[in-house]
Amino acid sequence: MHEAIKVSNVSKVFSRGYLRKSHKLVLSGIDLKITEGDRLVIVGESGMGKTTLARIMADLEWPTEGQVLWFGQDIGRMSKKEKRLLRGSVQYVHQDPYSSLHPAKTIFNIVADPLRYAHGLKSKDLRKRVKELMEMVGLTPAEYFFNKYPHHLSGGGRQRLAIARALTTEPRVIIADEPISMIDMSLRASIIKLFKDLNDQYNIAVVLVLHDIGAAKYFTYEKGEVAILYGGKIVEKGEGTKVLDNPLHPYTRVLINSSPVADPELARNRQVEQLRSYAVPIRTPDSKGCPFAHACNYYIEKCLERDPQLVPVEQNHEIACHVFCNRDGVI
Amino acid sequence: MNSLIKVENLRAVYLVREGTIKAADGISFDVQENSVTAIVGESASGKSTIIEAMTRTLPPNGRLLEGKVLYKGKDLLALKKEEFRRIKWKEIALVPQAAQQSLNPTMKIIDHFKDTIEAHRINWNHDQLIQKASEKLEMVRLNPDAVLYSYPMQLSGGMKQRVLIALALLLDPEVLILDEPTSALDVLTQAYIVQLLKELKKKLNITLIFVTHDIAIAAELADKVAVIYAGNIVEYNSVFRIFKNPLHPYTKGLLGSIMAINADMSKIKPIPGAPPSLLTPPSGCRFHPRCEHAMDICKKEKPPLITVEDGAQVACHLYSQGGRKDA
Ligand SMILES: Nc1ncnc2c1ncn2[C@@H]1O[C@H](COP(=O)(O)OP(=O)(O)OP(=O)(O)O)[C@@H](O)[C@H]1O
Ligand SMILES: Nc1ncnc2c1ncn2[C@@H]1O[C@H](COP(=O)(O)OP(=O)(O)OP(=O)(O)O)[C@@H](O)[C@H]1O
Ligand code: SF4
Ligand code: SF4
Ligand SMILES: [Mg+2]
Ligand SMILES: [Mg+2]
Repeated sequence: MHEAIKVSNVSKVFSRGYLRKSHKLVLSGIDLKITEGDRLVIVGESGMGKTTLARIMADLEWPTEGQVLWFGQDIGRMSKKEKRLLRGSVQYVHQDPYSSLHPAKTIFNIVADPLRYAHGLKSKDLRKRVKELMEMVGLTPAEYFFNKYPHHLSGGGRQRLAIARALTTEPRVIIADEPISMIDMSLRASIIKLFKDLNDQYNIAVVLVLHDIGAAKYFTYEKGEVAILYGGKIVEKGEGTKVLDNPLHPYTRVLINSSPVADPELARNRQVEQLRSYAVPIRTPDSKGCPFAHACNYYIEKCLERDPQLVPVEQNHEIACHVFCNRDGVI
Repeated sequence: MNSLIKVENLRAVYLVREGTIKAADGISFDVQENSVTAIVGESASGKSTIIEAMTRTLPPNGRLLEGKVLYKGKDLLALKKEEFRRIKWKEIALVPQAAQQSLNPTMKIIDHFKDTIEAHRINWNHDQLIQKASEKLEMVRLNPDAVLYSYPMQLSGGMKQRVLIALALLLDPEVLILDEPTSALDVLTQAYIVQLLKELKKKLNITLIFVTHDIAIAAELADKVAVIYAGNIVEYNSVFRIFKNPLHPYTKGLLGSIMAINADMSKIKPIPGAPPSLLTPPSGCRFHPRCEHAMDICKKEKPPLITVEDGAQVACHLYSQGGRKDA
């Protein structure tokens, strides 16, 4: 199977100020890929670099170091023309379905405009294609919505509309940043389900950024990969079920152990691990050691000195941790 | 067990250009002393409206149409302003939704404590204040020496939320009401605050009422859960009952749709449709457009909240008084 997107050794530094420049290392040494037709979730808490990584994958942000490949080609070295040909193949869906849709455009035109400009579709063909796309995302009956506006839709409806618009270019990859964080509880599963359906039925590769482990599990329990981001580094990655059912990195473990369970007995009987610190790490290009060391209950001296690298612990399952990298899932 | 608070038929609306938003439409529930009650519902279902109506903090365009909040035999909503102020904070303290943003950025944390006692006309000298404030901060596991002299912007979201809880505890209230105490926080910080609230509950013999849109948080913390849908309580039961044997079709649907980590992923089933507008809510049972059991009567008559077996309460025409039909 071919790689749809591959990120290799990507780092991102944000710099501020003129004379006394400060540098913030937001991503470091990221290696990540998604195969055509596969699913990938990037999980992490706020400030860990998820959006930055997703935007770099979508070519909306430039890495300070490293390469991004689309369908095997380095996008940093592509000519304008080559990029234009591929542009529509990778679509990014913004986190906020409220602000990313034009409030004064009808729902029909929100989907139709890109089709008019990019594909030159007109009248009957245009209507047919808009209808098809709206049906693909579950906005049915499509005609009912044609003359309505985004504010007539629920949060979930707007998210569906944003996805329909992304589909106008017939993408082979969709990257969606926190697609459920701003919508109602009872609608969240249906949005994740929609992405699964797009993946199953149209073989579109889907990358989701999520902070909710349960949603990550729902998206990947049948197929797909998970990457856990902490302090701008991937600390654990691999097959979804392996990472989420048998987490090995101390951060992944505490993240899963802290996620609420919808079972009062279980909730009362389990022990939630307490960390040494809950501060978000601030890293600079000079930072050394494991980004989790200030919080980790298992740290050893080496953790403060040397940056742990991702190493395989089983097939298609890697972690970056000095202490747990050699052990077989038992702590 | 005694009911400490009895909310009766609370109805509150918001006046807007297009009409009235029926945000709390006949809310009744009892809160037992030393218990933890969760008010659970989706965004815009009316959770904050209930809390604001109970604590007389509705915004200017909010109107309380009717209802009582009986606390130790007194109706809080009928009390004179002055009398209510004596109870508020000293006996009933509130941490409103998104209160972190209401911390004054130009004031150190110590000054927020000072303001609180001044607003409630407490005569503590400086040392007493420091001592009390430190005690409460330690209770929420913050280091008073570091935090008291910090500005809000120097604290993380989770620390600010804990400062607000410490502030609410300052006058040793009997009841603590928290509106979305964990919602803007990350998974780890959220778990930490939940843990803290559990400890506080054990240590202080306090009655907690909290609002959340995340029903899984209720599983962690609550004794009783009120499920809100579109301005109505649709079910009010013990937490075990809600999760093990939910009665209302909405509660069932919600539990079946949440992607909790312990859920059987192959059984997750989204609820069809979307929550209604409260400007023009559906007739009869407000859930009927999304309910797979909807009958004729559901469109015409609003089901009252009734008590079925074991004191479980549900508002649904599938259940008739005293008995229960399988939904
Ligand atoms: N344009 C920018 N300039 C400077 N710093 C930035 C910029 N964009 C992001 N950052 C910083 O990079 C870090 C990672 O941000 P990012 O938005 O990627 O995190 P995230 O994991 O998506 O967080 P969230 O869950 O809050 O969306 C943060 O510390 C953020 O402040
Ligand atoms: N000041 C106001 N003016 C007009 N409408 C309001 C006002 N405050 C709330 N509403 C509306 O009343 C309804 C109930 O709002 P409320 O804030 O009680 O919901 P909630 O359940 O607390 O939601 P959330 O989870 O988003 O906090 C919503 O439709 C909301 O839009
Ligand atoms: S490398 Fe060390 S500090 Fe980092 S997660 Fe592993 S044990 Fe903890
Ligand atoms: S009253 Fe009718 S519509 Fe409402 S929840 Fe019960 S069965 Fe469904
Ligand atoms: Mg982000
Ligand atoms: Mg609210």
